[in-house]
Amino acid sequence: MSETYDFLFKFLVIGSAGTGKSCLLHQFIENKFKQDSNHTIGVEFGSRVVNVGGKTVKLQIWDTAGQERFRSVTRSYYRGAAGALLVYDITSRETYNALTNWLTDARTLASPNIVIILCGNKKDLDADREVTFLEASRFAQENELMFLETSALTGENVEEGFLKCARTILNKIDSGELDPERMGSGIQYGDASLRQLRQPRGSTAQNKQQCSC
Amino acid sequence: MKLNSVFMEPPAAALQTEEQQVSAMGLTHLWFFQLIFEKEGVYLHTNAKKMLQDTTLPGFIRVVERAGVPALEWSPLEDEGRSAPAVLYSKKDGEEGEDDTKFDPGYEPDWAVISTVKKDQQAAVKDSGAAGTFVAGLCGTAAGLSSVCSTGQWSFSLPLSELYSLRRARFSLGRNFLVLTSRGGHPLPPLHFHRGGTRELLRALQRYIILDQSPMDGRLFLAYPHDSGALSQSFDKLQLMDDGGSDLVSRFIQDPYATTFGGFSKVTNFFKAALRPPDSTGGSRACRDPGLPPQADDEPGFELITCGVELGPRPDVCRGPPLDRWEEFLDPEGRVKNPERIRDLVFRGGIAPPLRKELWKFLLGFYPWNSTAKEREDILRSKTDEYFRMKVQWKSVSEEQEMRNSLLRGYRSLIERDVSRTDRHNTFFSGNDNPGLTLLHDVLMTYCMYNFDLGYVQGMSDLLAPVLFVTQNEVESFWCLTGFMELVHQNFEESQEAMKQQLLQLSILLRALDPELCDFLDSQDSGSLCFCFRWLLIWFKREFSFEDILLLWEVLWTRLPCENFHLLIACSILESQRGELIGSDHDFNTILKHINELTMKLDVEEVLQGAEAIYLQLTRCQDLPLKVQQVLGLYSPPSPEGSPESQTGETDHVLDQSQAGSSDPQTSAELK
Repeated sequence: MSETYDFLFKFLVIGSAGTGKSCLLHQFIENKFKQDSNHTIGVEFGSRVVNVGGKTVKLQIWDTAGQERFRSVTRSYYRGAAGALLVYDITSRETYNALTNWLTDARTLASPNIVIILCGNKKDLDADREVTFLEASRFAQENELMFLETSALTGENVEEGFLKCARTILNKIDSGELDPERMGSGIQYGDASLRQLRQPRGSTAQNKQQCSC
Repeated sequence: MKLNSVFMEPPAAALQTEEQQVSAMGLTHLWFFQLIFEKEGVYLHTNAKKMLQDTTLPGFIRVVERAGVPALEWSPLEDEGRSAPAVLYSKKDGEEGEDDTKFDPGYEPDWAVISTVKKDQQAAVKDSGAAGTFVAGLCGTAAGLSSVCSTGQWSFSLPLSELYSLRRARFSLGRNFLVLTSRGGHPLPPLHFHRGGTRELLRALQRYIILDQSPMDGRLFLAYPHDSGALSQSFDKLQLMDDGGSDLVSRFIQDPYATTFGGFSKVTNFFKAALRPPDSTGGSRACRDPGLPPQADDEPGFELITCGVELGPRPDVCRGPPLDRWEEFLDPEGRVKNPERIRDLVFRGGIAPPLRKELWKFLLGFYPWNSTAKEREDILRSKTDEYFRMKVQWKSVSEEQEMRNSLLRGYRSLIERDVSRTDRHNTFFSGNDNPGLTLLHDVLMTYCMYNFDLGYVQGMSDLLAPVLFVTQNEVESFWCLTGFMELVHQNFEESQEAMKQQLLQLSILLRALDPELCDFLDSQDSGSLCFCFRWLLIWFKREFSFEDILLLWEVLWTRLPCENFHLLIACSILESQRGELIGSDHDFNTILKHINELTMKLDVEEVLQGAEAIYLQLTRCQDLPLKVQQVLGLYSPPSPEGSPESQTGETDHVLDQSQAGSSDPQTSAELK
């Protein structure tokens, strides 16, 4: 009937207008670049089931409009997100400068333990680069973010971005740092995790040991 | 704060339990063993330091039902697991407070879908094969003799009916531990929750028993079975419901909020603020407010009539052919002889494509209807000058100047980004270096100069593109855009008040039309209709093909039959989707997805026909609620400033006419 999965994570894609948020989502879900797509009005939604470290995880991804003006609308979707892709455009310093604002929003409005990955998108436009890799990775480090440069056009690192974020959340669940049962964690058990309850507990404990190394 | 919250918890839990127990009871016939709650990382403290063994054992705490008998069980991790405690212990300091008793209203407005599902899944049923692994625990229940059954070294199973008390305390490191006592007086080994979960466990237990906090010790909870007597007793002790009486519990079950508030209001109004669902979720939870009757699903066997209005039959509506004559409506000087007639015809059938360029200028207020051909030439001349004056303003801003003008810089950058992704499928804007793109850019930049406070907001390029396509003229498209923006500029304002207001009005209309659909949407936390945001912001631009949107907009620009006709269009679309929405297993996420994916799948004629039919149906209803009348412009509350003239414009005049006509069954035919 419906897809089975171990976990369901709520994700956000946030960042300034025109950084390629919808294209990243589209590339991740459809595996191709979205040509001639209009800018997002309001919010859009996509989902995909992925396999991470032996677990199936359904990602429910909310793609939001980027303009400051609509933050009052898009903010209402932040609540209870477990992960976020924070996107800027490597060819636009302006979108990079706005990151702190987006970060504050995400950390205050979504789940407090939200796992965020910084994505410097439009990696393919290296000739027009305005933000260096080094600078952004330093920012990521200072703000406890994971970091990748991506290209929604070529697909480079797009899958990795989403998966890396999902993997980190899974590790945090395993280590007990994240509690899926806490309200607003943005995490939900799927049907498949119920099967897992029937397995001997030892195997789970072993997994844990591996993950936290 | 803490004290208050403790008072609240037992009744809130009792409320939940009512429904859940019913479903759980239904299942026990089918399954022998049922796992209700499970938490790992619960360490049992053996207090056996002398013995050569671990003093703390990692394990699982579970609430299970065995043959319908609920029990609390602890079992150790298997050997491989026991070698890993050092790894498991990885909680950050900052998070340990999380497990504290906080007031929890028990719902999550935005993300409630998740918690609902989780509840079911926690109560997931394990097959009897799995029960084999817990055989040890069974003997206690089956034998019924000893209340505590120790097997292996330390694992135990305690039927909940045998639980006497539970004390939750905080270890010096900040983690919680529980001390359980059985009715026989046996203390069980303390359980340390290294990874939190005591609150969740208490919540799970409250499905079966009442945990009543001791007035002497805030950390001590006494366990009572879930029967009315005990519940009343515990209320009596609190002396909050001074009108007591034996019907307290039944009143509580029927109308928990009112009963609870009624009692607690005697203590402090704080409770009300804490318990009441937030107003921000719109009307969706209004039915849960105190004082209102319980919802239909709370009281099986009673039908709750949510909409007092009996709407009459929905009339058939015929749309007409597009307006394809023009000259014959002009007098010798070129004035439009009968603007109302033109509006009616446009409303009914739209405009034939060759006439659009001319007529849109009237509909969007660039030319007054009563202007002569000569006057229009003058208007065009002066408006052309005015346009270029504003265009020069932004054109002449040097790069250096712009560096110091962050607003302008922001507008320009966003316009550049959006122009390159507005209707690129349309030949007028497709391909690189298309002159259409430059026009789009320049007109939007000039609009920023025209209304610098508003500036450029995403969505405006969607509004301009069709106008530019039809007028094929920079100056005319600009002034048509300003006319269009007169109607919708509030949609783009920072506060978004106008958008909220329209979503609210839409829900008022939908409630009158289709309460069942509204109830469904409410039940999925979608009662705010936020998934209609895109529709209303840019008047369905993204939902229909370019060609269809030209028709839809010119119909809306007639402002017939009422100013909120776009909301009726929204109703028409929502109604057309009611089967799909209610019938399928949609939740908050998939409702939005479904609505977004309607794009390019809707039939514009059907939608317009439906919207007008809805309008006629509503206006013919004798006792239409005042709120609905207000949305439809049939009733406006008396304004304190008096002077009705000041409010009556041409539009209202036309509106009056159309209303007069609409009460006549012949309207549709006449308009044709």
